[in-house]
Amino acid sequence: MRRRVPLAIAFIAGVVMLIQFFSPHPTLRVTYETMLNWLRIISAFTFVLGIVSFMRVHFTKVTHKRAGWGYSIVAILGFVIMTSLGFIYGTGAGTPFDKMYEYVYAPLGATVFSLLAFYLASASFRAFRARNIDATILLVVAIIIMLGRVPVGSFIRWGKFSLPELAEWIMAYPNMAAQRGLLIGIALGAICMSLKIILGIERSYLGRGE
Amino acid sequence: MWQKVSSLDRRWIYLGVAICAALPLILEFILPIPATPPVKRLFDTIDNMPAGHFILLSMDFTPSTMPELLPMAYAIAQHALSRGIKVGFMTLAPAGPGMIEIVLEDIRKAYPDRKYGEDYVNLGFKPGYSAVILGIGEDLHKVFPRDAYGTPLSELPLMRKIHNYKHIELVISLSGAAYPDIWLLYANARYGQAIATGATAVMAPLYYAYLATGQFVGMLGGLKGAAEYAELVRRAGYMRIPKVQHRVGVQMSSQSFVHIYIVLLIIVGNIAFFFIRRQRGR
Repeated sequence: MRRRVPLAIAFIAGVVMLIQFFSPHPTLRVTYETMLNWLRIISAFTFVLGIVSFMRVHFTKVTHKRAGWGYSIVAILGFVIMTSLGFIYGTGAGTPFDKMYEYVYAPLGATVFSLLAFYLASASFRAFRARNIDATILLVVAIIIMLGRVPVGSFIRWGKFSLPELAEWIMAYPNMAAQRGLLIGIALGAICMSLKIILGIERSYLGRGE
Repeated sequence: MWQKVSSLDRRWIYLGVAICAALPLILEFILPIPATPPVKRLFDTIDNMPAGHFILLSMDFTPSTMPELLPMAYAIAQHALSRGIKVGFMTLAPAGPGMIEIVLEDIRKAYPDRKYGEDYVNLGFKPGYSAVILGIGEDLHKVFPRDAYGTPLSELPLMRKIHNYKHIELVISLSGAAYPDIWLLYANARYGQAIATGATAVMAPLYYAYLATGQFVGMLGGLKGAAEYAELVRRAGYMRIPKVQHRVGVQMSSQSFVHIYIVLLIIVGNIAFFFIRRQRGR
């Protein structure tokens, strides 16, 4: 019973959403809008689940003094402080929440992402080697793209063609062709997986318990 | 000797990156930035749009991708507002509302002649991205009954005329994640909504397939796309927040130097690799 009911819900919801796509019938329109409302409500609840999971993971780490438990205290404090500021003063422009977001969270987020440039430089130096023909082609294309995607690339020209134009051609044709192949593969995979879920063949979302 | 080069301490490499990134920022020099076709296409779409039309600028990103995507939001918002096009700001990212506020803070100062609720509006964040995008196709007022500040949408003159995609000329999703794909899947495929995107440099290659089919009317790729668009906006005389255009130009020079440095590192690394391999062969 614990498995049959969710399987039945998944089947009915999947079939109804599939049929409504091809039919303008008023009943199906209402059903569609109702299901969209449910989806938005369920999505809002996922935040609650996320918060509970976040707090449980970090509290466990702190209480058991596992490796990196100090960072967990910072994570919990960050959550508590930002949430409290939001609840007490609101989240509008000029509020303490807004200031913390703009002057603490935003620079920290951007800084962490910027560190990629340092790792990328080090990794390129150590790992980007012309070991064979394939690796050499990859290396040459990478250099063309890297220089063609920055302003300094426009100073490098061969007759009528400039490096940014060559980089743009690589992106718009060979890259696009490869990406299109990937996208078609992903789309076919998604359709198969959806059908398997609707038909109850794929059941991993139910968990392992009986 | 080449063995020493090959096993160079990474801290020296990091120092080189720091110098290359910082020098142009300190000296503040800007290299010329010619516009590429995907950027020009988006610029032309907004430039040829009649005044009074409505575009939805979905700022679907968080601070981690802010350096690349925030300048795009500034440039597009200035272009649209200067031309009398109405702008709706929204986000599908939970940490996105703060990004909108940063842009609006400067927009309010630079455009005292444009009124909130009449020329632009902040719809804020709603969870459940696919349901939100599909819901806008049915009735935007049901998805966003109030704006980000709690005002009912029915009280905002601009939003009384906007109910679904039929009233939205263009949706632009700025994101470092897969949100533009989702806009495409649900708003374009189902409702025929025109979509454009501003993506991080890492994500941009993926979207050339959609550009080729015309599903994306234009694209800004990474900081370069932002700099190209800002330059087009400046040349057309629509730039009212010049500090942003200047900053993004300087950042592009910084990126130029870092890219040259990485290319040099790759070349030196490969020379060392060949010499070491030759020595081992002997």
